Amino acid sequence: MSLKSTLSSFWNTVSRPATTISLGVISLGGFITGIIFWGGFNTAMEFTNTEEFCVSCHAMRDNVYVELQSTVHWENRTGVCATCPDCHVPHEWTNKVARKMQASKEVWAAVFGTINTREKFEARRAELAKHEWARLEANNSLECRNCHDYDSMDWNAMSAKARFYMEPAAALDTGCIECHKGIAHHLPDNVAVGSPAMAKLENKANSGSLSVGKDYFAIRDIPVFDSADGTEPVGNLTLGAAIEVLDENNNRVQFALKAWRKDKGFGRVIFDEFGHNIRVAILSKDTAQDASLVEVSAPQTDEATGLDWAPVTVTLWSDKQGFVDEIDELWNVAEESYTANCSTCHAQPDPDHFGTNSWPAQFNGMVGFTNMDEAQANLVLTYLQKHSADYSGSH
Amino acid sequence: MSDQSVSRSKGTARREWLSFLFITLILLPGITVLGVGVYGFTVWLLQMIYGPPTGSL
Repeated sequence: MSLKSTLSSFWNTVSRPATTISLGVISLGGFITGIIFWGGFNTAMEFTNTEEFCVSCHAMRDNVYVELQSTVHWENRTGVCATCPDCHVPHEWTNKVARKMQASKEVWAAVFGTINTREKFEARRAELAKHEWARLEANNSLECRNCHDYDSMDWNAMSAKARFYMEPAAALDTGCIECHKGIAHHLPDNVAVGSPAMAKLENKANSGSLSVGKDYFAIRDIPVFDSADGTEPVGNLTLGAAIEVLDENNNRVQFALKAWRKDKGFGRVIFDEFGHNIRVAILSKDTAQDASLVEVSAPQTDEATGLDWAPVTVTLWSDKQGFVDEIDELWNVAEESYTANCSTCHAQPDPDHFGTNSWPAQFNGMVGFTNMDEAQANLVLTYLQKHSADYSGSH
Repeated sequence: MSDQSVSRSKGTARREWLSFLFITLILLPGITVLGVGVYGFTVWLLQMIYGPPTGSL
């Protein structure tokens, strides 16, 4: 029998009332198979949402699954455990189905062995991690928040250090992943800036060999304290901050930061130079107002904006890690990053093409087209601001 | 009933049962799974264009 006659015979049968099967049998049959299908469909959905299923492929079992087992999300004093799908599969139906279809890529990779060795996995770790970070950043850490909730946090049960960061984050409803990267699996190497030069610089900065009386530069955000044994940070130095070491005590150094602030509000934000919006430190309100820690001199008026800027000397403590004695190395890394990322689409303007205070608007308008992460973008912007027309004397 | 009509009704019964089982066990589940799959792929495609889903759905 040809296909055509099979189809036409099938159509003849189904397009007219059944003559030998009763309506009751047809209805009941349809009803029961419907139930079986519905149950089967959900069982299949649930089965593909189990840890057992996820780790049935080697890329998962030998890499991320092993890493998870050393973290608090695997084993802890309360006995609550997060399995793969709790964090990595959306719980809402539509997005869940879309994610299941997306997994066709993972099936493809498993079948063709795209990531069948540890080396291949490590080579792609940064890329894979960035996909998950982007997803969690977009939905404001929805999957974390299925369990963790700012409203249910007991601030009194938290350490002072945790509170210092968590309370402002809660006030802004900041997504968990913004800070808590690499808590369930290893962080990709050198992901912060993604350059071997930066990793080298980090290593150098983390050796913590500072001597009293010398000048150093912060190569990243560094928490600061109001005493040698303070446990609660009272603010942060930011990238590029130039300090002079005054004293040392165990792993802490006391430093002086000579900079400027706008004579407005609480003066929590400290800037590098008069009239230039380059941040070098952010302090808590109490610290910014404490004359023994922040010594303020007579303000001067910036003609361009009419704002009063006052020179300040901030004297605080920090850990020894995160400083280098030569800032040019940091700018070299930044320049490399700037050239690599911006020249992909256009000839990038020279840093001195814009002023220090106009770079942020220029830069922030374009950075979305690049794949720079926040730390890298921050570094490049600071570099551009520090090498702008205001510093070169041209334009 | 003549022999002919009995054999015809036997053939009809066979065809009707086969059609019934084919529709309920294969055709409709297949279409449903395919439909859900196509829906999932469509949502994924839209996510690639308009970005990943946001928290407020």
